[in-house]
Amino acid sequence: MKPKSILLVVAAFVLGAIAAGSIGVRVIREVRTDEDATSLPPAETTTTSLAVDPPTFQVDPRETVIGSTVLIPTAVEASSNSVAISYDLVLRAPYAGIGPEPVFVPGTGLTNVDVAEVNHVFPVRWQLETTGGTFEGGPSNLNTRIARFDVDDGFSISEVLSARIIEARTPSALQLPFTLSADTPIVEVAPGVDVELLNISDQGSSTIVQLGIDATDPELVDVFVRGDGPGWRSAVFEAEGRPRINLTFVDGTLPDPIPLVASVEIWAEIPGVFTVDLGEFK
Amino acid sequence: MSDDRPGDTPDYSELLKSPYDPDPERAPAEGASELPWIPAVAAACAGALLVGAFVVFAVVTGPDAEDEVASPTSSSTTTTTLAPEPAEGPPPGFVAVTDEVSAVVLGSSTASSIGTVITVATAVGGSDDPAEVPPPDIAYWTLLSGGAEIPMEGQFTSKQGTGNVTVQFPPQLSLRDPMLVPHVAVGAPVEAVETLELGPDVPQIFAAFPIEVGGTTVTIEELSFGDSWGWLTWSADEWVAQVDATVTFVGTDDPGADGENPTVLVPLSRRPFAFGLPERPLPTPYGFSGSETLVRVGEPIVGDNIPTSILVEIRVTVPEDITEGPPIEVPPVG
Repeated sequence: MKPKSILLVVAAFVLGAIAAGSIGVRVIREVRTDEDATSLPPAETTTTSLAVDPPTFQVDPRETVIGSTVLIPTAVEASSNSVAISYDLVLRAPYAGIGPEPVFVPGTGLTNVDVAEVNHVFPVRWQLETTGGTFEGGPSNLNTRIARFDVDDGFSISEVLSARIIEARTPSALQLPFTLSADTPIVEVAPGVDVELLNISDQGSSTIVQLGIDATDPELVDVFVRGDGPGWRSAVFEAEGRPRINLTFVDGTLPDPIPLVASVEIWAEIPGVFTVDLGEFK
Repeated sequence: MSDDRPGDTPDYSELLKSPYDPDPERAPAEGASELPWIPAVAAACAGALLVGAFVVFAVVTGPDAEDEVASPTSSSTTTTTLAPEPAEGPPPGFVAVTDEVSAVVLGSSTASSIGTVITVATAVGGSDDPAEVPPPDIAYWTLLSGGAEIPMEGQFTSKQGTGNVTVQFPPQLSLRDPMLVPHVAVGAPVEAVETLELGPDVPQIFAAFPIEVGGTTVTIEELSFGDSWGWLTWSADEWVAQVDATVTFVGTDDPGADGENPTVLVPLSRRPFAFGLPERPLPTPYGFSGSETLVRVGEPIVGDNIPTSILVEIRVTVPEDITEGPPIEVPPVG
C-alpha cells in the first residue's frame, strides 16, 4: 500500500471515531439529564411536601372519644340475621397511683383487676345504618364489649353503611346525707334510687337498722349506705348481691330521725350521639 | 517472425490479454478515484465502532446512583412520615387544666335531693401514658353563672369512674351561660401530723381541736371513737384540706397474722377488701370541710385482746398554693 493510502486510512479511522464520539457525548448527556430529573433533585431544589393535617386521634385513627375513654371498633361480623360489632375500650384518664381492686371472678376467686381493664363507659344503645334500613342494638351488659343487632334474613356485611351510639353512660359518684324515720321510711336519695327503712331491732346493747335499696335500673346504680355520725359500726350487705344493708349502732340510744349517708354511683348519661368508624370493615 | 528457440516455453501473455483487463500503467478512467476508498471507509467504520462501543459502555454503566444521593444535611428535601401518630394535645372539646391533664363537662343535673351536680371527665394527651400521670389535684371548683361565682359543696371520685369527678353545688333554679372553673392545687402539698397518746378507755371524744398547717388552720370539729367505730368531722379556715385519721389500740394483736397487727380504726378508703362491703372508695379529694367514718380493721377488742393505750394520728394535707384554671363550658342543666 502506498504511503498516501495509509495516511488516508488512518485519517478515515480518526474521522469515524470523532463523529461517533461527538454523537456519543450528546447521547450520554441526554441520558444523564433524564436520570437526574427522575431521581436526584439538586441540593438547591425546594421540594414541596404534601400538606398533612395534624393528627387528632388519641389512640387509633378509628377511635370514638366518649368521656375519658376511647372506643375502637375491632371487628364486624354478620350472619344471616345478626350483626356483631366488637370494640375495645381504652381508658385515657390519668390513673397513676390508683391500684388494682380485688374482684371475685366465678371459677377463679379473688383476682386483682387493674383500673384500666374495667369498663368506664357503657355504650348502651347503638344504631346500625344499612342499605336496608336502621337497626337498633347494643351490648347485653356493661361488662361486655360486643354490640349486637338483629337484622333481616339474608343480611350481608356489604349492606352496612355506618354505626352510631345514641346512648352512652359513665359512672358519676356522689355522697348524699339523708335521714329516715318511722314517719319518713322511704327517701329517694338519687333519681330512681329509693332507700327504705325495713326494720329496727335491739341486739344486746346494740341496735340493728335494716335498710332496703330499690333502684329502677339496678345495673346502672351502685348504692351503699352508712350511718352518719358517731356510734356506727361498719355497715354490711345482708348477703352478697342482695340490695339490703344492715347497720349496727353501738353508742346508746338510736337517734331519731336516723342520720345516714348514701354513697351513690350512677351510670349517668353522656349527652350526644357518637359516630363509630366502620370504614375498615365494610 | 519469432526468434524463439525450440524447448523454451512460449510467452502467450500478450495473447491472453483482454481489452477489459485493467492496465496498471494506464491512467484511470475518467470519473474514477485514484484513492483507496474501500480501506478508508473500513477504517472510518472501525473508528466509529470503537468509539461507539465506548459510548455504549459509558451509558450502560453510567454514574453510580449511590455516589450522588444527597445527604440530609446538604439537601432541602423534606421527608413526610405517613405512619399515623397520636395527637399530642387533648381530645377534641377538652380544656387543659394542668400541663398534662385536660377536662370536659359531660353533663349536669339538678334535683332537690342531690343539688346541682356536674360530671367532669379528665384525660391525658394522645402522646401521654395515662398510667404514668396522676389524677389532677383540683383544690376546689366554682360555678360561674350570671356574674355570680358559686363555690362547690363537694367533689367526688370513684374507682369505677376513674377519670370522672362529680362536683356538687347547691340546687340552682336557673343558670345563665354557666362555666365550671377548676382551682388547681400547685406546688408540693404541705402536711402536718398530730399524734395523741391516750389512755386505753373508750369511748373518747375530742372537739374543736385546731391544727396549724401551711399558714392556715384546720379544725377537727369532732373526733370520737369506741372500740369498733370512729367518727371524724373537720373544717378548713378559708382554704381546702384533706384529713386522714388512724386510731391504734396499742398492745392488741391478731394472733393469726405475721408480725404485730394491732387493731386499728381507719377511713373506709384504707380498709382491706372484704365480702359484703362495697368497693373501697378513693381517698376523699380536697374539700372545705368533711367527715369520715372510721372502721375497725383487726381483731375485736374483747377477751385478752385489750389495749394498754391508744394512739391517735391525724394527718392534715393542704395545697401549697392554688391557681385558677380555665373555665369549662357547662351544657344546659338537665
